[in-house]
Amino acid sequence: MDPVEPIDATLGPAPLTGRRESPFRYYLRFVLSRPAGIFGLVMVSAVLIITIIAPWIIPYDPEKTFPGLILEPPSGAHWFGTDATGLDVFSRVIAATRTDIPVAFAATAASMAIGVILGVIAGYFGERRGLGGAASEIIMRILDIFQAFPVFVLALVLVAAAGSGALNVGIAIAFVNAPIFARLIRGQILGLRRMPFVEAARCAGGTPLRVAFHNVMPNVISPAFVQASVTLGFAILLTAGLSFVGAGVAAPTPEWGLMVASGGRHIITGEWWPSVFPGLALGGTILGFAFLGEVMGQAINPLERR
Amino acid sequence: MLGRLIAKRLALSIVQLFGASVVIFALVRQLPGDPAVSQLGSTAGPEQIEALRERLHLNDPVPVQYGIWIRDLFRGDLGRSNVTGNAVTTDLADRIPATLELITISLLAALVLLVPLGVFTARVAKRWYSRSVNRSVATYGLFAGSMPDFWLAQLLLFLFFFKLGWAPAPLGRVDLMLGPPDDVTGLYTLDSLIAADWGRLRDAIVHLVLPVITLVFVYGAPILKMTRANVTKNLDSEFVQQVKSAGVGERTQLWIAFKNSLPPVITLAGITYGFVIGGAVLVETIFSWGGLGQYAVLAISNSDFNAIQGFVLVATVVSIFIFLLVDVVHYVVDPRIRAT
Repeated sequence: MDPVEPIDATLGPAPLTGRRESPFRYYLRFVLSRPAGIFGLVMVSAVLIITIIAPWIIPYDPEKTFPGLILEPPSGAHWFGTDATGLDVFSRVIAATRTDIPVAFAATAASMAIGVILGVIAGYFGERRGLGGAASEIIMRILDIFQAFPVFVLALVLVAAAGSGALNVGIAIAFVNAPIFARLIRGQILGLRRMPFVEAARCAGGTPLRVAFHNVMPNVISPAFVQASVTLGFAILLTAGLSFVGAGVAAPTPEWGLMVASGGRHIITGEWWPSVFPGLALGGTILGFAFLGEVMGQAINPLERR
Repeated sequence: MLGRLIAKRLALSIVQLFGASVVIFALVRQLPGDPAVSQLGSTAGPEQIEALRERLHLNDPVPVQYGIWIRDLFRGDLGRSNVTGNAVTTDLADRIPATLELITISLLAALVLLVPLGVFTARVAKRWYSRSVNRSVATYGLFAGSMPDFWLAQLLLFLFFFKLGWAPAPLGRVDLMLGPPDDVTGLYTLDSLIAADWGRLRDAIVHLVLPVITLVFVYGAPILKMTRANVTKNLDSEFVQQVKSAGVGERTQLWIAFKNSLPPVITLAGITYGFVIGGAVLVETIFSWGGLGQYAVLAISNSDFNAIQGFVLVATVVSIFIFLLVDVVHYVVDPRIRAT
């Protein structure tokens, strides 16, 4: 079944070609119709391209020190200067995309997968009898418990328990974000499950699980993708925050939060470049995802459009 | 009716507390390393280690261990910190006021600044410049949500400490020469007020400014957006139209719209408070605040498991308590909930 196609009055009707416009093309058209959307798309694309081509554009090895160049200000040879151990800040800011971006994408994909599955079960079988209802109830109670923890604190402890490193950071971030997706999907399904098409699918002989995942889920998946854009930014922020306090990726791996942490020790004596540049890259990347997520959210919700 | 709602909500909090305690217990068991070995050091013989394992109940079945852990918890025994050498409960008690002072003042500042701003920006919704106000609020929200708090704190320090020399060095809550006020509550602002010590009060406030600005800027945006959205919605609602048609003045209309916008804002303020406990970890580190967050960071970098466990417990209990409080306030101020 096709996802329910959003209708957008401000864009005018899609051309009557006899075929329905694909959701992907609809979103792209919507995003490109707003300045904020273009900004977000450009930022995100730029970061993704840099991530891919990083090894070919960095001027120096990001883990190789220049012993004579400690805390050198930005110059022609070292665009973003050097840090307290004589590492080239520009190379490290660029190379760090290869740590932060894959961790964020993997963690977001994992949390979305787990969250959507839990959310479909909790939503479709919610307040019903039998095994499904019980599963739904258990899922909701577990979500209640995890909601009691402050997000950053939970992530911190998970990494402390599992040990630092990019993989464990990713797992912790996936874990703390999954409940957001679960609640989102559950809410969507609760509003949908009494619709005639659900009944029709059941009458056609679909088993409950098949109806839930094959017929109902595709109709509520779009908001999850919008949420994913927001979660991506949040995941990058969490990765950096965990590394900042020494519970994430370990030095000398290039990572933005780590660089802001080690560079920040010198900001009160005026050497701003080792922390300001990685912070800019970090904030700019998250901002790109935030703008994209905001505009995609408007594309989904007709009431939010102006 | 209200009593039953509160009792039901209280029951949920107890379930949450129980669940959270199981999760923390399980996580702490997951932590690498044998507590007996780390306590005795590497020179201890196998018999010594075995004896201590027995004494620490590490050979008992896991549910029994959980029971003992809970019993110790209620006795206020969270073990000893390897880093400070003190009982974890003592360490926590020393540091809780610093963190509570920081995040409570930040939240109050956010409410005092941003709720009126939200009402004001909602009021201008029908004017010609409403579009740019709209855009500014939305853009601020996106920027605030994208700004790493630990980075903003550094930028503020660079500008106000290094460049302008207005702010004090990020070395704690008071000037080291001045020292803290007489300890009553542990909240420096309140303690110096009680002692009528204006010099120390001023000093405590001066030290709070930059961390509070950081937290308010980064975590306050949802409060502004929520206030604005709700007041806008309520100004357009049928009940405000009704009083308007009855000839009630604009001020009263706004007041009615504002009053009806408060419940979700209260809920959001509570959620923000819980969230900021996490955010404070990063900001405290930068300002050497000496609160719970900095304690947790130190504990993690030294694999000090008792201290980590103590920190998570406190953070979670505070967060559960705040959520409970918020919901109860919500029930009390919003008669519509009682009706359903």
